[in-house]
Amino acid sequence: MRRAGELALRGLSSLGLSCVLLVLLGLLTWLGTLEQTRSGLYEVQRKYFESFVLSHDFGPVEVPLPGANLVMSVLLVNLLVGGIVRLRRGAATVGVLVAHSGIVLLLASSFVKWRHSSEGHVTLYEGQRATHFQSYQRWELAVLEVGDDGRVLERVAPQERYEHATPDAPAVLRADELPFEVRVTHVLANCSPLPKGPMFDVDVPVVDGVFLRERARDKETERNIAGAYVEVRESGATPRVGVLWGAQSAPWSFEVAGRRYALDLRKERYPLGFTLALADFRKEDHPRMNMARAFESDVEVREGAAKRPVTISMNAPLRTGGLVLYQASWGPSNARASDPLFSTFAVVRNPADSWPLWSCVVISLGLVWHFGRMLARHVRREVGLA
Amino acid sequence: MPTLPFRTGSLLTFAVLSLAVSACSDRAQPSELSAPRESSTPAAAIEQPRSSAERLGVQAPPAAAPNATNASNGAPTSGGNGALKWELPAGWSELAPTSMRVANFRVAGDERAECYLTFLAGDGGGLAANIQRWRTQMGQGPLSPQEIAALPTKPMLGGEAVLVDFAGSFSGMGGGGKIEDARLVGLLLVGPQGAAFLKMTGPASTLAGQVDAFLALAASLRN
Repeated sequence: MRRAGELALRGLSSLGLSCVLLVLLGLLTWLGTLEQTRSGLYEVQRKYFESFVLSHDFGPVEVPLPGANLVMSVLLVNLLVGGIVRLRRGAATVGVLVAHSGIVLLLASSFVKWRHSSEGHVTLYEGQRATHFQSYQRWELAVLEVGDDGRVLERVAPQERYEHATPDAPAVLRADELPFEVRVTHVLANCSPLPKGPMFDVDVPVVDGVFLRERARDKETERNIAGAYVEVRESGATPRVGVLWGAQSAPWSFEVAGRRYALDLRKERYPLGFTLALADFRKEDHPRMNMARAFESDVEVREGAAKRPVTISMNAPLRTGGLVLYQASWGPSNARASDPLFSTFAVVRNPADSWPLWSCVVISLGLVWHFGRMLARHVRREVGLA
Repeated sequence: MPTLPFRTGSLLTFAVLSLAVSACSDRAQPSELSAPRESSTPAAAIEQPRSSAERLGVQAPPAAAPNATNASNGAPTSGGNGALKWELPAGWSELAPTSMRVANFRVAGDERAECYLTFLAGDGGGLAANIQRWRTQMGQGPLSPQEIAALPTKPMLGGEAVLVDFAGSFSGMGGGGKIEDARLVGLLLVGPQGAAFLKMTGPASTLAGQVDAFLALAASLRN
């Protein structure tokens, strides 16, 4: 047992393992880059860099590979055990120790970003305001309930909870306070609703004469419109089947035990933590062209009773409450001179936003120390020989 | 003490860790929904129930035209049902549309000869499936993909529709009104935005002189 432990420790801390992991990271980066000829950036990120295992299509052969997530996790252990804990301590290894600590910080920052960051956008016309931003790619299923005071409460299930649901293995979503459970039976990554005609059959449920027709997935994930079939099951009652679509004009509304509920399939939403109101949007075109040279937005950040005017422009984002809001785009692109324009802000919440900068500083200091010391030793030796 | 080679130990450790980490990614069901939070969705969107078609923005099939007939005895005459217009071939008569037949005609020369236009959402089941279905109605075997690809096209509704012309024994939907020595001439316009089918069936001897009129009718269809 002790021998096995020693063996594992030796393997985990070995330079050979480091080399294998770095080669794998290079391979995944190369394969992920090639994959972008067939898939969009988001899908490639999920498949190659946020996964633990993946299957890469080498022509006729599918080859299982470790995902970058797994490779970096093992690399972290390898660095901690081999590059820090088991490293010989002394003046000669101080620089290496500091550089390794910087790499550990870099890996930690990527983990924090993966687990705890959110990215999305807020789009507002002048006079509009928002309390949340929404994802470009990710969907969520929301159960909405009108409370006694008229306020609407929502409970949500992120995409991972139901995206692999099938009629044989439905995803069951529930909450203790709800008198029903929701079963997701079909999920379509990209689809459109159509009326069912008598001259053709479909292999999905038809609800009120309407069904969802699956479409080929667009390479760019944000262009896909998801759909789902759901069943609302309450005890002692026949299940009700509803059809949800990502571009529906209203959620599917139904009544259970005298209270009204609704189900909505929508892009994942994240609370801003404040109210963002667009007061004014300005754009300046290139001379004699309908192409924007610069554009900026005057917004008001409302937190409780406090109001703060801020101008967000292309190179001057708003940083507040752990969020960064960038001036991303505007539209409609075909608007005439008199048409109102909307302003879109890209929103990023990343608690480890500045960690990569600090890790680069730490790695640089370690390397400068290490190579500086080696250079000094070399110079001393050369001078001594002279 | 014998030890595993250095590289073997590294790879073994990596493989064990791979399996251990990937095994942790399975999810259990059922899943708990998140804790309730206030929504920005207005209560009115929930309190007002809507049909699936209304919520999903699905259009109903084109509305049926008034239950009236129009006949053309001499030269072609203009006809239409509000949404569509056409030039009615000489000797043909308009029949009342049905829930499926947006435009419905009796072909000159025989009461059993008919022609009608159908719209379906999406691709209406697809070009090949509809051609094979019509082949079956004529008691014929299916066409190969190469034969379908080689079919000619004719203009209809602003697009190039695929023209088919089959001879055989016709038995339509429901098996009623079987016609021996029949002919089926049809145009199929199938695209992602919708499908249109103009189909003429009847005794082969009657339709022999009506194919040009059929094509002229197809070319005259307009909004």
